[in-house]
Amino acid sequence: MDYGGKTDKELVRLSRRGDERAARELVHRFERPVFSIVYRMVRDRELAEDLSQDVFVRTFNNLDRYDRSYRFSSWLFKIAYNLTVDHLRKRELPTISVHGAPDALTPERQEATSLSLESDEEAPDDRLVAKELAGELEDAIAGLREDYRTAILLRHVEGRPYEEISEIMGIPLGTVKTYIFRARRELRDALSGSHEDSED
Amino acid sequence: MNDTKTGTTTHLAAEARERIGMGGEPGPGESRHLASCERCRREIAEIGSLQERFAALLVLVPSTGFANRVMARVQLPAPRWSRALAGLRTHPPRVAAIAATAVGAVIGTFVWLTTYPQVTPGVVAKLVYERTTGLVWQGVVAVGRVVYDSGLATLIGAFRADLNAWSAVGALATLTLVGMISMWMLLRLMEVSPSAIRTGVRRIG
Repeated sequence: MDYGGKTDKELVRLSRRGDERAARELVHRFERPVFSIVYRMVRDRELAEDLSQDVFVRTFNNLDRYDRSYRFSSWLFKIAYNLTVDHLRKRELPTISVHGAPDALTPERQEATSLSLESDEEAPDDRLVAKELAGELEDAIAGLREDYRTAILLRHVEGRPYEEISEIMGIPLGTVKTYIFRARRELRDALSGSHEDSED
Repeated sequence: MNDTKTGTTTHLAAEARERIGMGGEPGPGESRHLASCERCRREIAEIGSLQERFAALLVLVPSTGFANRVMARVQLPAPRWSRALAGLRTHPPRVAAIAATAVGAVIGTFVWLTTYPQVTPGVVAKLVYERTTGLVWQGVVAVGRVVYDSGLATLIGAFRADLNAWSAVGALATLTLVGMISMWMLLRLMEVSPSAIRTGVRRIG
């Protein structure tokens, strides 16, 4: 059976019947977006992996509660958002640099907490520039409030429409628009500030 | 065209600016406005530039074996065939009955097809239908005959002729009284006091 060609809802239906290959296909389909958003929220690779695993485990163990009138991805992101925010609120994590957490004193810990950027197509120099630019943006994103950060990532990285972001975050549509507007303004200010710093 | 008014100048709505900034094509009216509005052009350019930078954010991937680690922790319900097999393993008589039925069905079909090829499934269905309806009809007639022979129909008719409001009230009162006495006797037999049931309070200490 070709699982790659099936829709998310078909895979969910099969998973509910105990089809492990369907569940595995769902994990493959969403592991990167879920991991990306969790990682950019907590900024720690090990923690992001643990939380992402918890997201999928919680999702599959509660599949009977999934309302088929919603998109599966919305439900999954909602679980990811709630789990990550709960964790952040418990731990009050500091915002950290793209190069690793401030408490990462050993090279191993820096490696564990630094961002992993994947690109095979660029030349080493281009990759360096891209990493530098991406790093500036990553740092600027990290400086945003957690709800601004989630909203802007869902909009610009995941390309989710406003209505879906509203469902995922459990906030009114108007609030989503405000968050995204303010997040853009803060990012613009942060990025223009970092350029001025680098030019000086 | 969706517009917002700021002071005396009308600008494109925020949704329209975002749509165009994120790569959407401006409509004819929007293009005309953009040709003359520096502020909207600048905002669209900013959104476009930000979107480009977001697109340059490279893909973040979990470490190898992530899916395996997830699947090791997930508890999916067992597939139907697996549940059915498990049920059969724990009930050997059921397995034997199903196997015997299957063997009987196969042998019976074989004998039927080789011995009586003219008896098609349609013929069998028609025969079953006729026999069933005949049996139901005979059953109805038999019940009617029993009711008539036992004199029950005559008895019901006699009751209906004598029934009036006072006799109905009297019957109801008698039935209620008999019911209450029966309940009281039942409780006495079980050695439970009605008052104990009603209060159910016990003093402690």
